[in-house]
Amino acid sequence: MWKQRNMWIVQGLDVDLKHILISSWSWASSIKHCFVPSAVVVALDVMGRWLGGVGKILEDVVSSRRNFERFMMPLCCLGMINGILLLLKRIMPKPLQQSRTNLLHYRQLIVSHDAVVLGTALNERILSSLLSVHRLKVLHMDRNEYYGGEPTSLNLIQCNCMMEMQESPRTPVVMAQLSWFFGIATIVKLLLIPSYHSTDLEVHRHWLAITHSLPLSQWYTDETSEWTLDYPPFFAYLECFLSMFAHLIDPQIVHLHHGLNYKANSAIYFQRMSVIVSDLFLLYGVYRSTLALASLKRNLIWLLVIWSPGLLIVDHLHFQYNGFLFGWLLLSLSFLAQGRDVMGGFLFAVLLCFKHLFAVAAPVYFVYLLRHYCRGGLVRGFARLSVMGAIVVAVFAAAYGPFVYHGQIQQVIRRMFPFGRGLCHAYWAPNFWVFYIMLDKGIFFLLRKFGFNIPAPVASFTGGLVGDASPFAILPRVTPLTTFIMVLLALSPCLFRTWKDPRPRLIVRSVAYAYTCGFLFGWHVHEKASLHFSIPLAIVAVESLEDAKHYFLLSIGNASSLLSLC
Amino acid sequence: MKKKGEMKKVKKVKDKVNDGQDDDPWWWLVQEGIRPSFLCISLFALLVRVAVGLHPYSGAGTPPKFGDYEAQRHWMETTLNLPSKDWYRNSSVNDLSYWGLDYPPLTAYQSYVHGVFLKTFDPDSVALFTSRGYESYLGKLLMRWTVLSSDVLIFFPAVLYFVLVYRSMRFGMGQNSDVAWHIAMILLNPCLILIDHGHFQYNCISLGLTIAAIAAALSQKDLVASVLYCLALNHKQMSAYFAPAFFGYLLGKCLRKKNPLLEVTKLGLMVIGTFAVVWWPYLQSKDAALAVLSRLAPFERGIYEDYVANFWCTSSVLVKWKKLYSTQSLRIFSLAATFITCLPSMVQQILAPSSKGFLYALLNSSFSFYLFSFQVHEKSILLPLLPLTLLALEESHSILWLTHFAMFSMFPLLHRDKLVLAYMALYALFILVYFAPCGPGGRCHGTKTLDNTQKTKRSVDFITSITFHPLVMGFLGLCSLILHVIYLTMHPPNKYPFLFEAVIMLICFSQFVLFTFYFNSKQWMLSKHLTSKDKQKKLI
Repeated sequence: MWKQRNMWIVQGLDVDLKHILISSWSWASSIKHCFVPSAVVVALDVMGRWLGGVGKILEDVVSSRRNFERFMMPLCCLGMINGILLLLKRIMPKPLQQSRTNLLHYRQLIVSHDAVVLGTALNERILSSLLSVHRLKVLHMDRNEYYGGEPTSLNLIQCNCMMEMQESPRTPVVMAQLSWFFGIATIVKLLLIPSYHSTDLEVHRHWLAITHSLPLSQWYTDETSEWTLDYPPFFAYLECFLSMFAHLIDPQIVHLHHGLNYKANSAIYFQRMSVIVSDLFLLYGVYRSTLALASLKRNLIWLLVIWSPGLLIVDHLHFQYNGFLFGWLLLSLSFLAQGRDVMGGFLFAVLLCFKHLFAVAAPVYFVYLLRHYCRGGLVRGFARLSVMGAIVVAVFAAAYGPFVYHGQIQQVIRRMFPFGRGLCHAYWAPNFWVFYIMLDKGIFFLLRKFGFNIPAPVASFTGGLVGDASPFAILPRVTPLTTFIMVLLALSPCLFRTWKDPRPRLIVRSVAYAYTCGFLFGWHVHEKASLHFSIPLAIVAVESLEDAKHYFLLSIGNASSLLSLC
Repeated sequence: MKKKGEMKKVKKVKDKVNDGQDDDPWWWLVQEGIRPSFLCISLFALLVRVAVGLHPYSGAGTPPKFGDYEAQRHWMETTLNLPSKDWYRNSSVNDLSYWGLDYPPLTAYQSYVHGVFLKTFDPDSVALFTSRGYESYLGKLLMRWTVLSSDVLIFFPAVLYFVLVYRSMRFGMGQNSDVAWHIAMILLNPCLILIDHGHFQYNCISLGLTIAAIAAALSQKDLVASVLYCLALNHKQMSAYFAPAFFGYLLGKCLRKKNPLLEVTKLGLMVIGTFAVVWWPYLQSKDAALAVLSRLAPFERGIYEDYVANFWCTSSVLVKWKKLYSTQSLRIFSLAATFITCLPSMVQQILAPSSKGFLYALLNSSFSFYLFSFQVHEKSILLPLLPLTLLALEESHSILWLTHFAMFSMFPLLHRDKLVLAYMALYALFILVYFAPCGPGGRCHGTKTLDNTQKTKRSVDFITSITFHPLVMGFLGLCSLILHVIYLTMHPPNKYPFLFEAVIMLICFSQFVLFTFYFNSKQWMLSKHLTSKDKQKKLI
């Protein structure tokens, strides 16, 4: 029972206001305009890609694929940047801005009464009648469709209704429903096994071979194929684990030399199946991070994450293990959102040792854990800081320890951070640098037209190794350090906010924002990296209509930027 | 202490979860009405079709005869390059022994249109003579697109039409999510997808036209229905499986009108007119028409092919029909058997035409054709399955069971086409969609509702208790699962190379016969039920 603005709100034992507010249909009806069309557009988009031949036909139309990409990229860029600006606005929410629309609705209802009584059991009934005797205007609410709570007599229809309430799904049923969604996705994945796959399939097959046939000390030095191992050690361990099964199925898959470019069905099926099975982590991650939500929101998140077109394209067409990795990320975020910071930090450290590209969110994690976990005075804060530090160090030691022992840590780091690869990936990611490059080209073109004699740049943007020559004609050259500083600068408002007010509710939002910054300003960003923010954002998207709009915009941009992958 | 606090928090969170569970898990799909949810489901169905299209087609890389894919491509080749008079005629430019055109003219026109489409993007694939056995990535893609487009243009709208009509027929009954489930059951029918988009055929066109005809008949547009059905018949002669039901229902309805003779003449004129338009190029001379007709009825191919789960093939284990009798007498046998078995449902419709009874009659007549008619193929099980999927909300038990056996009966065929992965995936998809959370399928297998117990009191009782007894179902399910595994992993003994196919055929046949009895009795019960209701009304 609490007082608010000269008005009493009384809460019964079995109800709470939040529950009613959250599951309110007014909110639901406001969000519905957004989701069905978005589902349709995303599905259409994926469909177009899966038709596979679209690109081929378009090729004839636009004469060459490169032209087509250049034409698409700025469009995607604009979409992305628009979405990101909107996101930036959202990252600094005024208190309760998320649920303002529905609160307004309820405030009107509540303000027009003197007292609100929640629940209609015996106590509340007596209370409300007493209040009304005292000439107060009473709003009496109940979550059930009938009056009287537990000690009431019902007619047949109400009885039926109550029975249904009693049979309402419990946690195992939630799991069953989620598994249903997951099962449907798995079937699509199974059907996609014979579809197109990129060279990443061969890359991962080669890693299986390396980790199976070479001793640990040679994993990061081997140069049998051009596809050297460039993921952190935990991923190498995972490949080693998988290679044991691969060896049982077909020894040629894991043969270092005979296996090169081995494209037999056994290899493809095994690798595809390993991705599909490893997606179980994603299932658990989503399950954990949606436990606390109302069923409607939960369903929407399941749809958006498990049926995410981007994830399907990258994992099951292009071939990667992102579903597995996002499972870890979501698990970590779900622990943080529950306030279990140690577990969240531990899982994130593990994730970093699987794929270092997730490190973009490390500053956010660091600030958040520092302010949220290590609070409560100097001594206790320091103790907690050292606990967290010890955990992270332990994880990293487990990953890199063997390589330190073999004295190869430098080699490992060199492999993991190939800065020689150039600012943009062979397939451009629609980020800030595209504009930068286009600006450079534009000025170059104009100056030439006005008669200035400027030498054309030697290196190209897309051709892998750049070396020392600058690809820019006019504008200053971009170095990895510049991009690093840019990312930090873009991150700073979010870091500042997290420092001032470390709230578990905002952590998912902040992490998603951090990945967006990394995508926009990072060095050698792959377009697949757009998944890094679109998956966590899906969890944020159900919080309010505006979030849903931003998510919609970003995911469309994201999906169309993946077009050139296929 | 802290930890305890945290534990409590978690518990609270969990309690909250348990509280807010009364929402419909399908709300996001069905909240805007039938059309948007139809759009969403059909997009998903399209996605599944596209994904199945990635798998191999029948006869891929197996010269010299290849398979159905090559047949369809060859028809495009001939129809595109030859004048319409030569399409059905053996000549120096058209070798009918190599996949000669043996479907009615509408298929030929459709092949022509698709041939034009193929020619604009890949002229090599439909060049006369030189393109035989042509296989390429682009060619496969374009061919898949032709099936997809005909699915989208004909089958999907027809299903939408039917669902809208059906919904208005039993309005007020069932929730929106039931309708969504029904749509999914029709659109995601695994057999149809596997045959059309995996094996490669254009069943979606004739079946789509049939569905449209059914919907039109149900919404009292008899003339439209007869035209649509004639089109279906002119696309694939197999649509004749539904003829007795259409005939009975439309005739029965005419007889109940004021001026029966006029109505019947109107229908007859529509039918003749449609046929005349479609057959126009062949009506110039008697020989041309007869040549087409002889192509349509390939009696020389024998009474059955492969191991189809119908009466003739199954009983040939005991009685060697092909050796004992000539083709001529077998033709008469099969015709008589088919006619006798589909007579009851037809008579029932003439006597008491009702929309529900019409759907059951479609089911019964197609089943009797499947079981007893001449030259039936495994793929023909698609035809009985179609009315069953339309009845999914009424027959939620049997659709699961019968689809299982239909899939099973086609398993050897699909195994030959290397579609086992797609088969398993689509089978799992069907099961998942059937048991969708809070859907009718999941519900009817949970607690028995009042409705069910009332229904089972009737004399259908006996058959239902056999077919749907959990023990029987469990046993047969286990059997088929084991057979799947055996078929995939073991070689049959040399003495009986087709042992497994025969066992599969026997199991499926027994179930099909049982279901034929069940549906027939259901249809007759329906009319009894109705008449008793009428009597009650009169008494009141």
